[in-house]
Amino acid sequence: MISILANPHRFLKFARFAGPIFGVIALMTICLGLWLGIWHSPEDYQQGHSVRIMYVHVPAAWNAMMAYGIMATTSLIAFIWRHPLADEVAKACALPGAAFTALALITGSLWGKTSWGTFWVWDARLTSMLVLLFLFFGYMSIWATMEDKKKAARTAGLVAMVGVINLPIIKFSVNWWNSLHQGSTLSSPNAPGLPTDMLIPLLLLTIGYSCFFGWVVINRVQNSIAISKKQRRAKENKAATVTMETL
Amino acid sequence: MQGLSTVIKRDLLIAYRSGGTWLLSLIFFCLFLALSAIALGGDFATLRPLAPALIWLSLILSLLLSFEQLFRTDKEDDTLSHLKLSGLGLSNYVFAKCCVHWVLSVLPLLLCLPLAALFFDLGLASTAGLFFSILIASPALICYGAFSGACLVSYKGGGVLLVLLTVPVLLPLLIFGVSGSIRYAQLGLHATEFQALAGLSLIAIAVGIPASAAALNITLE
Repeated sequence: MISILANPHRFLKFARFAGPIFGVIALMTICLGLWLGIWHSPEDYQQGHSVRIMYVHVPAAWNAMMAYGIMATTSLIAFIWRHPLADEVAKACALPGAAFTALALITGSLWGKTSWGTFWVWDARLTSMLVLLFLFFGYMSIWATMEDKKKAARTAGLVAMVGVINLPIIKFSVNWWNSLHQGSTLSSPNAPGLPTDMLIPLLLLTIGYSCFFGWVVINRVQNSIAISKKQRRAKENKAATVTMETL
Repeated sequence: MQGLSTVIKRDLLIAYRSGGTWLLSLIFFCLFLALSAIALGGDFATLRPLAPALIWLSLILSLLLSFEQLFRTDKEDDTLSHLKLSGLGLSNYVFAKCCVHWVLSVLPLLLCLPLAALFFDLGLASTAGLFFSILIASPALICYGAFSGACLVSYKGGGVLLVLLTVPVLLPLLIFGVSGSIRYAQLGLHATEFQALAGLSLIAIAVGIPASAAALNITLE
């Protein structure tokens, strides 16, 4: 799969039908999930209606981490095999990933205001999400500041990989430092679990967010392929005019 | 081995002949501490509990300022290309650079720590805790800083970007460093924080030095 998509032409063929499919699935699941989440899910017995922020907040946080994971994995692929499109995919992941992180932080602080009484606490999960946002910014700033795009790709890839090695360490150290955020409800053993009425919209929105992410990434990669094609064409044309002049 | 010692000797000689620019990070360290003591009102009762955090902050800030120049001159006069051709290996070169940087920027701070302790009227136990936490964490500080410096070696836009790249990975060091230097008074070197710091330093050496060498290699491509 990965080596098939290495060829930009095949990737463009794949993107032409995969992009719209992702977009349509994202639109459908997000609409359905929001409808179920807002009108057809129970209130929390403690938090009341404010628990509905969860349907926007939790998928954003999950997808932000997924985005960083994909960014680091594709950077590794690009670094080892010099896969020409993996760099573009890694680059394309950064902006939506940062947007998901920011969305998780903003909705989290709104939720915190209603359930903890403050917009911000220096709690372990909030702090590690903030650090994740800084990691995304650092990655994007490498792309933005280096002129030679090939060097920028490889350097930014290194930054992403060193970041992903440090993410669990940061997570662990921040947990050690302070913990107030409620524990994981879904994945830990003996977790209380969510009632099905809440779980279904949450999962629908997670699928919707992931498909939206996929749609954005595919579009951004298509865009960068188009830009590099245009640049190459401009270069070729320029060479032609130079030879004309010398003749 | 001989190449390694040649690089170390050369860099120490450059620092010796530079007219004391390596002292600037030490001066920054002292200035930052003095400024924060003045800003906080200068009362020892309020300063004493804040001292480990302030000293750690000034250590990290003063080090962050120094990494921008770490590989810059070698890149600009193309010493780096010669080193790559010489067969020394860029990892060895980075390792030598890190050792020299440790001697020039961390060692003076460690030696001046008693002076910083005077600023805040710290006891012997707190000073020793700070000393050991900085000593154990310093390889990680240097290696991650060197990595950021190597990534940005051909970028001429000031140090803010370097701070943005380095601060996230230095966060665990700050957390364990501060809490370790506070808990030293009760537990000595058996506090868990010191083990965590030692582990972080080992990871940083294993990750930071090859990654810096790779980043330098990219700029030479």
